[in-house]
Amino acid sequence: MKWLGAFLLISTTTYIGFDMSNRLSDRTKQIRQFILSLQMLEAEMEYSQLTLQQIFRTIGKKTSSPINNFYSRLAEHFDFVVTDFLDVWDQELDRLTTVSALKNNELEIMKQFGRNLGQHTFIQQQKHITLAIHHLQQQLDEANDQRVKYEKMMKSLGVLIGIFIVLILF
Amino acid sequence: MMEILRLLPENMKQAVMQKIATRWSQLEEIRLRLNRPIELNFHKQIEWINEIIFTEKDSIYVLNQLSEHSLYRLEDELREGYITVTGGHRVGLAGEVTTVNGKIKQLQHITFFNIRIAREIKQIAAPFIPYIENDNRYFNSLIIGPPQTGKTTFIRDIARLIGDRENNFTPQKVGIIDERSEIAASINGVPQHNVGLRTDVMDACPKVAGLMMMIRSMSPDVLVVDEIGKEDDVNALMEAVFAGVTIICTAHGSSVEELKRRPSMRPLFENHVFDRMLILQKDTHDYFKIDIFTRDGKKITSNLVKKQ
Amino acid sequence: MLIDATILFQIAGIGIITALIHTVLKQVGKEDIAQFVSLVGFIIVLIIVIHHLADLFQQIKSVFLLKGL
Repeated sequence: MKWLGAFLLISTTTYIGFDMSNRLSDRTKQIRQFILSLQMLEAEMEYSQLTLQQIFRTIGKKTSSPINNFYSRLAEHFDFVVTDFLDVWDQELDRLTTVSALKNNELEIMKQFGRNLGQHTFIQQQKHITLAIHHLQQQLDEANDQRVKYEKMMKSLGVLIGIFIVLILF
Repeated sequence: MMEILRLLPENMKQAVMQKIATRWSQLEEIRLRLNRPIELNFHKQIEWINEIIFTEKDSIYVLNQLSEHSLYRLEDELREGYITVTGGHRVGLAGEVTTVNGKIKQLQHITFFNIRIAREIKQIAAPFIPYIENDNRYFNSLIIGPPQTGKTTFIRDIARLIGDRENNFTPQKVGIIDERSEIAASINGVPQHNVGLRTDVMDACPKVAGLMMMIRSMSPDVLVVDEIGKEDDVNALMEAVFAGVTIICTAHGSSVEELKRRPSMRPLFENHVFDRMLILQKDTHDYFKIDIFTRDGKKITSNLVKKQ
Repeated sequence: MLIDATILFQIAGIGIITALIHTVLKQVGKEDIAQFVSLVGFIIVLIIVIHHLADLFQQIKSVFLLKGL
């Protein structure tokens, strides 16, 4: 029985370690996806002249989880009367943070971006998009640095701490 | 009605609905002005909704509803100063404009909205089609009148009557060059007014290019053009006439003589292009007077037409 | 032997793990946390050793006491 307990404990801490490590690499992946989605947004606005709802739907199909759900859900909101787009945008962003590895900094950048979405003519809109991408790129660099530093550490630490605790409790 | 109400913020929607009640058919315009109460223009009177002031937040809401939160698509419309919405209604915009080298770059801050309710008046031109019929074809016709007389409504109905199959009139292929989107009020190329089954529309297209494109590609029997006056327009019209296409157009003015005096219009009269001239005059608020003349100036009919 | 072999393994194990954790943390640059962990490991080992030393002394005491009687 003791061995079973020990095994469970080590598995748990190892899992936690790996999970935290994955969060780091996920964060970089997802920020990169966000940047990509903004570039898609810009291209669609410039060339296809579709409405925001249609563009959201298109982007939702072309990106991967969890960003795609964010955009698909936004598109769905437009099927009903949207009195305050900002509310909807913020709401979906908050939800996205709970299901993704994205952190507060990225969230703030996107919330700020939402305030200028669809409110300006194209050239101004483009400027806002470029600005948001620039900020996100900074976050991406930071996330990448963190990932490189701590990815392996988290994994090793997970295992080691598990063994540590088992040994103490033995 | 719904397509106009959905543009308004919730609190205004209720107030406007209550105020108008059942009088929608008499409503001409809803005017929204920043920090002012809402103005309702009916046929015979003006009414105000004093309890509500149109705030900046409201103007952002209206703009978002108009643009479907996608203002970047409406650059051309903003420059022209109006947006067409479903149903053919036109929302005029005014506010602060930015210019570049003296030309309008953009309408920057929109603080005035004028929602003009579009109304098709079907059959208004029906009694007069026989006067412009010419065997199996139609006479080249010019409709003259001062602004706001109803020329556009009239020519819209002419296009519909000629282009529909169900009337006793000779059906023809009709092409409309709708430079200001007033005749067909198209959205994404789809006419919001009924302009006839056999009618094709070039929306928001400069008259000169549109006429040539239509003739080359759509083989129309009749071309309908609104508000001719510039030299380029007239030249393009001459080309159409030489190509054997019937032209029916409108022009601002109060009489044939006045138009003949305009240098740009002279080629049309010197070449005796128009066989029929229809002169529209405002009579009272509900009626307009229409006189139809032949090429030689002979009056063949004179009528009062009720606008409703 | 009065001291269980298991305890030796336990102490050895804790020592090794502590050293490894120390190294990992030092590599990442968190030297301060690394030192802290080493300290904690050392204290734990100390506690274990003292605990068993106490046992040992009890046993020795009982042997001598018995003899002394």
